[in-house]
Amino acid sequence: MTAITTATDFAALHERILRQVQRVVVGQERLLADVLAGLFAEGHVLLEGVPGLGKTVLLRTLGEALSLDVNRVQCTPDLMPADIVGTTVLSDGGASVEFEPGPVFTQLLLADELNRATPKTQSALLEAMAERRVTTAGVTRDLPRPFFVMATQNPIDMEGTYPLPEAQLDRFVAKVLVPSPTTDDLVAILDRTTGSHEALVQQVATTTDLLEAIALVRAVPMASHVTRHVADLVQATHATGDAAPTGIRSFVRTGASPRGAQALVLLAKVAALRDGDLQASIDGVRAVAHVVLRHRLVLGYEAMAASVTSDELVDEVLTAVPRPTPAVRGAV
Amino acid sequence: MRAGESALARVVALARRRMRANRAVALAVPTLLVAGVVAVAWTAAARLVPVPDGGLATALVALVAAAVALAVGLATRIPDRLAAWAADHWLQTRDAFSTAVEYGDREPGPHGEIVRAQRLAAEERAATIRALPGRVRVPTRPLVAGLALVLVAAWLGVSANPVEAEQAELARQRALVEAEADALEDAAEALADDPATADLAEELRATIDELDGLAADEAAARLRELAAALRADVPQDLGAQRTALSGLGGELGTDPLADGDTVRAQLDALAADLDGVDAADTAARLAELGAATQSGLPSVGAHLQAAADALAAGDTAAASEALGAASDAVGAAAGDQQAAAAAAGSAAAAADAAQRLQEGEGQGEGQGQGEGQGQGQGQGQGEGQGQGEGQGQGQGQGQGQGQGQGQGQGQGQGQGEGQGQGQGGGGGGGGGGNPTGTSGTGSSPTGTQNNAGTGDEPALDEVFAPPVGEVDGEDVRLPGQADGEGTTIGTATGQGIDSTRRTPASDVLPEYADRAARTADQPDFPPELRSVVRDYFASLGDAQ
Repeated sequence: MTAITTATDFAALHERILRQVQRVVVGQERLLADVLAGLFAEGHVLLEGVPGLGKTVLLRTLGEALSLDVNRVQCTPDLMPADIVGTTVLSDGGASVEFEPGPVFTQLLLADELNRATPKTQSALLEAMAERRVTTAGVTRDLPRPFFVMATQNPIDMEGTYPLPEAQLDRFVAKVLVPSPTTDDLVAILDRTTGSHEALVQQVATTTDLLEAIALVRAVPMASHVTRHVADLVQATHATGDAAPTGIRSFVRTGASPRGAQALVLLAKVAALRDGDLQASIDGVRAVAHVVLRHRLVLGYEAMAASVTSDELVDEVLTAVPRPTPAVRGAV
Repeated sequence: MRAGESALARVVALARRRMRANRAVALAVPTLLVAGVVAVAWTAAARLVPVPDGGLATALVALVAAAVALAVGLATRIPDRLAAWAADHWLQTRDAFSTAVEYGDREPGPHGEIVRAQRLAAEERAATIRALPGRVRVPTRPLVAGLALVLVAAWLGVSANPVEAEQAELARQRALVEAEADALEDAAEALADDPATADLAEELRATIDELDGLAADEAAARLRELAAALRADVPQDLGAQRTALSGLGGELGTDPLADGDTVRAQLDALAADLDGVDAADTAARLAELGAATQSGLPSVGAHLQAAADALAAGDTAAASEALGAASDAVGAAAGDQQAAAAAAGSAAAAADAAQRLQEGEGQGEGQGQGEGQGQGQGQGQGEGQGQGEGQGQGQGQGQGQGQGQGQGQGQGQGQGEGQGQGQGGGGGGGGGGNPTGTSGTGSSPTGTQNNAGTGDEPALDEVFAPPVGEVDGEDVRLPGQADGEGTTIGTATGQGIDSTRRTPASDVLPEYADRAARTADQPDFPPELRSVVRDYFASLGDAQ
């Protein structure tokens, strides 16, 4: 493996990972790109889709391709926080206590059906996701780098689920909707998964490659007017924002946080490198707006009554905040 | 990023020029449009209400405003960062140029390699660019509209402005009023010297003070009222004297005083040289001189002719006396001219004021007063007032009415038609006034005469318009036979008219003028004579 120091290196790495994942996952290019963007931004990704779309397979395959330590947690209502972060157990015949790390101590944590865990258990992930460390019994322990949480949730079978609190949602850099496969993709899925042939995923990147790529993303330059555009977009998601569109004012209780703005910048930088650019652009920012902002808009009951989705509101925000031009009146 | 010779700097410079051009147009066109609207509105308003009319300058100001806006736009300072951003916008370079320019001045961080790579990539991209796409945005419709408005404003500016003309006319009238006020001031000063006219002078001064605060039309109306009041309030003797002095002024106007002085000097020389000179030669010279002065100074000519006759007859004493009378007549003419000058000033002021009121809605009234000795003469038309005292002869000629007053010796002589009054001098023709002084003689008028001056009796400003029914009439006998004999079959006693009564011409002249106008308007009246009739009565009115 070569060091990831240029956009070309990054693009090549991105392509290698994508090609390996697509050995297992059929289609879903946009989905894969968004998930990889979350990884290169060193953020956590929430996948939402009906069961059976391959969410778990995707994440497992990604872990294999990146040679990351992968743990999987199947969230249920009786899942306890200690089941995730770990617990202290007696050792040496009770002569001493020893911390038994939970599944969170890994590089890639797959939290399947996260919304089925109780809020108490969900909150056990807050510190790990935000600060990449865990505190148990008064002892704080760092998590390994990189650390990613890839969670899934089922949007339709809501019985016995606990919607994720806003604080936890905000910690996901992106929320990716898993669409149903197209007919051709479905045929390919059937061909691959119902026969005797099992696809093998090769490791195409090391942890070092991933960390270098993450560092490279943060080094991507972004012009000040692009940064300001990010801020304008985030401000427009608030009902009290000057540029907030009518839908935001009517249906949104809380808009995106500064963490959302950070996610916009990071994903825009990833998108620039992925597309071969060496600078973040306004186009890149607007391209990732839905993925970054959709789960950060806390909708009110009016939105549910009016069947207004978060993506529609993000579209309104993008319309209300057009591409900026130099602030010289009449010059452009 | 410093603007230099790099490809990126060149692209940035291109973008900057485009931005300046766009901004200049964006500033100039609305400015032109707004300025055009304002220019049209202003020039149009100047033709509706009295506001200053800029004329063509208004349109020029609009163009200048647009030019200034254009210059401001072209001089706009545009930083490299903004120009690069605009270049990204036009070239769809996904913020590559703006990022390179912005990060060009920064120290590369731990991963500065990507920043340098980004700048190199931007330079390479810029090197492929020769020009910006598109062209300077020019809003055609607003531009055309603005130019059209400026043209309309220019057209309005060069076209006639009725409001401005009206204002100029008002200013002219105001100037006339002020001039008349000055004339009235002079007249008031002259009238103030005489206790009889001191009140009139005060009224004049009050009127002058009022004129400053009045509009031109109001001032004109006020002057009309004052003119009417003056006609009604001027004392009768002043009116008579005015007429005499006005006539004398006119006469002297046709016979310059310098000539009179020469005649008098010659006469004095002749009187002094009568003894010891050849009588025939002297008589011939006197006759020649009398003939020479007959046209300008008839009375002087008459005296000279009498002297020539007496000298020819050998009566040197009578000749000397006649020459003395001629000399006095010339002296009186010269003296009266001083009074006439003042009176003529008043008369001219009043006459001019009346005339300007008719022509330009101006107002004016003149009065004059003077004193002197000499000869009073009245002539012509017009109106005026004058006062003079002196000795002399009165002579009237022409038509019209007038008043004159004089005292002293003199002869009255008149020709033509008219009505007038003379005291000691002729006024307006008619009868020669019998002077109140000594040795006055009156000669019969050679023309139609409505009154004859007899001493102090009013003769020229009154007409025969007796009222009916105030006195008993005469018995009328109706003969019944062809031979003139007959018997009286009855006697009727009725009311007649007082043939001795005289009425001031000013009281009946409007009625006469009205009747004459109505008569002239009759279909059977000769059209070519209507103007003659109207002019005649108008002249009588002016003389009043």
